Amino acid sequence: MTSIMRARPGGPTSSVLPGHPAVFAWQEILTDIGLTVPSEAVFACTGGCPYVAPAAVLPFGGYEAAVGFGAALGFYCDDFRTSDPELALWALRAQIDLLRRRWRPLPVFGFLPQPVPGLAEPQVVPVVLRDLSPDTVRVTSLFADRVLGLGQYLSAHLPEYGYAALTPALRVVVAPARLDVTPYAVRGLRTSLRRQLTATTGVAGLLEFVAGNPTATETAAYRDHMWAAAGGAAGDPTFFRDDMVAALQVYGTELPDSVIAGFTRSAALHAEFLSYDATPSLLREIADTEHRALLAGARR
Amino acid sequence: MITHPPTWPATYRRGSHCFSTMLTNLVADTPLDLGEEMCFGIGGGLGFMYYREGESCYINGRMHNLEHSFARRLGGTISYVCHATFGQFLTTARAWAEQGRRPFAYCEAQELDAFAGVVPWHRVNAFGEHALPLIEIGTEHAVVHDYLWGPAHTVDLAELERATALPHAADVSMAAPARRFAVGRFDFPARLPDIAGACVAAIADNVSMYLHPTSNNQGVRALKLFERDLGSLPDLLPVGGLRAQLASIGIMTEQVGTGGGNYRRLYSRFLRQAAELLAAPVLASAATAYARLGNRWKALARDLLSRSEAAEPTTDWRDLLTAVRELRTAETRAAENLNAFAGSAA
Repeated sequence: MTSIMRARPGGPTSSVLPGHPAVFAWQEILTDIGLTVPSEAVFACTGGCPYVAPAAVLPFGGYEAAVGFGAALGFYCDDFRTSDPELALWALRAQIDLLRRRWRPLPVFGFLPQPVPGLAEPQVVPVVLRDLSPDTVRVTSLFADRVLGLGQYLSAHLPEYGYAALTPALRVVVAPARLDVTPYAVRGLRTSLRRQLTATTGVAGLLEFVAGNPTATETAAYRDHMWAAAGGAAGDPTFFRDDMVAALQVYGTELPDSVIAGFTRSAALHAEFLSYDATPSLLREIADTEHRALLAGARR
Repeated sequence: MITHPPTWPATYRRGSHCFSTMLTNLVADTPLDLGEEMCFGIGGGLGFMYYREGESCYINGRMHNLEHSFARRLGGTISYVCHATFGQFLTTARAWAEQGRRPFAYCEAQELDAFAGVVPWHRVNAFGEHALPLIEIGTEHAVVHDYLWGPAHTVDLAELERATALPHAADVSMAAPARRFAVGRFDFPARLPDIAGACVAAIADNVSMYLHPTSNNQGVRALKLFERDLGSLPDLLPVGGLRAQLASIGIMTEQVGTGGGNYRRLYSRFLRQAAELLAAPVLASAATAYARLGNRWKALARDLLSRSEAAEPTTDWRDLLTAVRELRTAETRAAENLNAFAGSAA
């Protein structure tokens, strides 16, 4: 895998391995709470493998998946969604005040455009919002860590503004080391697999796309969206199927081997599709492979 | 694709609770048709919340985010958007209705005139959001459905504005920022989901949250807090204040969209259907246990309401505390039995 450059404000840039943008954002928040959660468990609870979202829809399942992440991990999760950035900012301030009253002002999950290495246009990706002041907010993503003026935040031109704010369980605050995420991750992974099978933003959506016999041009456009969502040239060439395999190996041990085999095969197909062979037939093979794997998991 | 009618049903399925009734009407006349109890159970409706702020006790017997959990487990999505003004709310609601997306409003039921003769709001510390399906939004009136009525009815826009502004949301200092002027919709999954699998997942997630809640104000911890608070309320509140809180708790657990018995009867009906679907006799036993819990909650509500009107509300107070302690023990045992089922099913 290729490495990406991740900037820290006021410090030197550092080279890190590619990762999953939503997993990265949640890991930052969990770390701030004082929790060490394996990335496979975070992935299992984030909603599974992403697919290319329809236009005007936030990637990685948007705020609905963010709320689902909190629920999957057994946490309460407040959220707020609006098309009005000023209203979103008001709610964000109120939520951070509330978090302070409940415990302390924890960072929250959101979506904002971020510069992605190798891509000309900023991409809307999961971010962590924190250190909200009267004039600025610190925005951290897998790709950048910046302090934004609120004017920049307000002019992001998003289809949806908002946040998802975890409220950690009392037992987690008191004794973080005693949190056993395994049962949550096992159940979260199963729910993710079920959603992938039926959701419009899952393999069902991809199957519909290939059933429409897309042209080579349409397929190339699909690949470009996938490429951008994966993090461009520096991103994950398997479109996070490697992450799924890793999560299945830890938290899907009760599932048939064909599920892991299917996603292992899909990882290789994605790498091929993203790197040089963006043909409709290869995309169809990806869809069929994942569909079979998900059906095998569902039949158990 | 799962297709659905472009409008809400002309005759609304009546039900016990606003959100689960709305969900059953959303999936009515589609291949995903589910009864209210299944919608409630798949949404993870079993819960308990208790919170006291000053002299006001707030109580609710169901889990939050019911509609989101329902959608997540079936592969669908709940979308909602908050607005700064009522005018913007109307614009979005009209557009979604015209697109056949069957919008609903998040609002406060106590602001709707239709409920004035049904729930004695002046005796209740009301809180939380009410789901109000929007059929048609005119220039002066809106046509809406609600869970207690089959036919649609009309509300004037001033009333709808008052309700969607969530004027009481800030009464609870620890509540999240109000979702003012919010319009929601349900987007169907692309393919039919595995209902049996969703039931198992819902029971497992739900009972886990109930037994290992996120705070002292939820699940079994909240039940313990409720029991402890009841023990000291006569010392904390003047007799008038005590009467008011007893009435509020009794009405909230019995009359305000719970189906009676603090939602336990509704959850029992879900478990009964899940038992058949999964061929799991243990769930049939659990259904019986939750029906009995419903009876206990009903008896408690009767007692609280009776005390709220008694000259001396604290007479035999120890009996009340014993009843609540026994109820808590029975609730915990029922949830642990369900947890054992969830563990074996997984």
